[in-house]
Amino acid sequence: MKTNGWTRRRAREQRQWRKHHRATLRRRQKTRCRRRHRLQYGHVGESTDNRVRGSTYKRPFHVTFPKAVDFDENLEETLAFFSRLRAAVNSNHGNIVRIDHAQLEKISPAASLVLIAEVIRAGSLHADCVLQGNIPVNEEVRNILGEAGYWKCFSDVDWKPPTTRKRLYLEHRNGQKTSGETVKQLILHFLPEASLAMAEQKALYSALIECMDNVMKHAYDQSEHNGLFYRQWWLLAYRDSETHEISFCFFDQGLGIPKTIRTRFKDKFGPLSAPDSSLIVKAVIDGHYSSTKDPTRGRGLPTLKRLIDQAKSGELMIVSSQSRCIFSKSNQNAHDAKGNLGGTLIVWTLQRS
Amino acid sequence: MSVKTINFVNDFTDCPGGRLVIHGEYSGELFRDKYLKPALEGSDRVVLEMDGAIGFPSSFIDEVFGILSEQVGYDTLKSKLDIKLTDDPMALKEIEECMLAHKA
Repeated sequence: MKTNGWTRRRAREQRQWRKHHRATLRRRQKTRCRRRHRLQYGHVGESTDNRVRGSTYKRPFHVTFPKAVDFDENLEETLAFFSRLRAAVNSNHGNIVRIDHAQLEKISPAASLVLIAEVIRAGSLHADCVLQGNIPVNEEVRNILGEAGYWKCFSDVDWKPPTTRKRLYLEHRNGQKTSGETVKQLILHFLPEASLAMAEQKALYSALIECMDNVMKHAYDQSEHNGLFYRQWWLLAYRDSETHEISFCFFDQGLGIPKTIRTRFKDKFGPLSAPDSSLIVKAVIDGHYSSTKDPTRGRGLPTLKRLIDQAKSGELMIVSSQSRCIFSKSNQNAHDAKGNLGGTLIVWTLQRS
Repeated sequence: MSVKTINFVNDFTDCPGGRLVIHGEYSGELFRDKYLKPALEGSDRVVLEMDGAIGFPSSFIDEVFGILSEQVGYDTLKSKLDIKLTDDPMALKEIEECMLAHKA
């Protein structure tokens, strides 16, 4: 027979046991609901693009092309796209980055080159990163990317060059050293269309070697090397039999011309220094800043400008960090953008009669 | 009087590179230290035939002739070195400017 004291103690123990057990049960119930929700809808707060059903691992990060990727006609959207691509590759959002080419209707050769550089950098610097995507619907876009060598960055892409082409591309080249042989191949590629005079060939050769050498000397800052910089230059060229133009695009993923100038000549600038675009303009018109005013330094960009001035028509476009400058025979245009290219792009185009 | 002749294209390359050896192949530093400077030190006169190259980058010229002008002296260099370059007058002018700019 139970005494009253024993009953009260037992009742107290049972109440405590239920209280403890209830809290545990509530906690388990909450975790179960959250896990079910995560499996079904992805993490709370993610964009709808990143929803995936089933697995919680390797959630893809989607990057969508704008309709036109062209530094000349659509600068802001183009810079924004490349920023998003870089962020997707460098972030920890997921190991898979899906590039949606579907609505891409126009891409310039220069943008193709930058795209190739970003994709190859992604694969080289982030071993876990897997880039996937779809093929663009627009045939011209497919062909430009194919001629530049973009589809070779992906496996299982079956692209064949068209049988008739008005533009003949020299597939992209890249390197970590100055290469005279590469520049020589580029000039030989131009010759059937351009018939450059000997002096022009030599000047063009000299200017391109200077661009490559600048990448070695100035473009990449050793003290800022943090794994995201990839010490390379990229080169793409074409000749066009319809418009009789020759063009090359040269790209590096370094600091950019304005930052390089400010770093090297910081004593010469006060707190209110010139805007980035004006530094680029001065580098092209006068040559790079030189503390010694050495006439032998900084001749690459002025030489490229001089070749355009001497030709029937042509254009030199430089996109560096957040600025774009366009130089033609009789005009120049400078613009400071919101986005950042993450390097320097030089596009030189010459038209012969 | 000993005379040494260097044919740039045959002995070195027809597509010279950039400034330093670490920048890439056929650099100005390599040509200066391996070909030109030993020739100047070992001969009374050096004839440098530079025709036939596809071009001479400014940094290459500066590294070869400018730095050499500092190392051996402008007057010595002018008296000992005979440059034959007929197909690139701009480069020839640049060489002279470099040597003067680096005149010790």
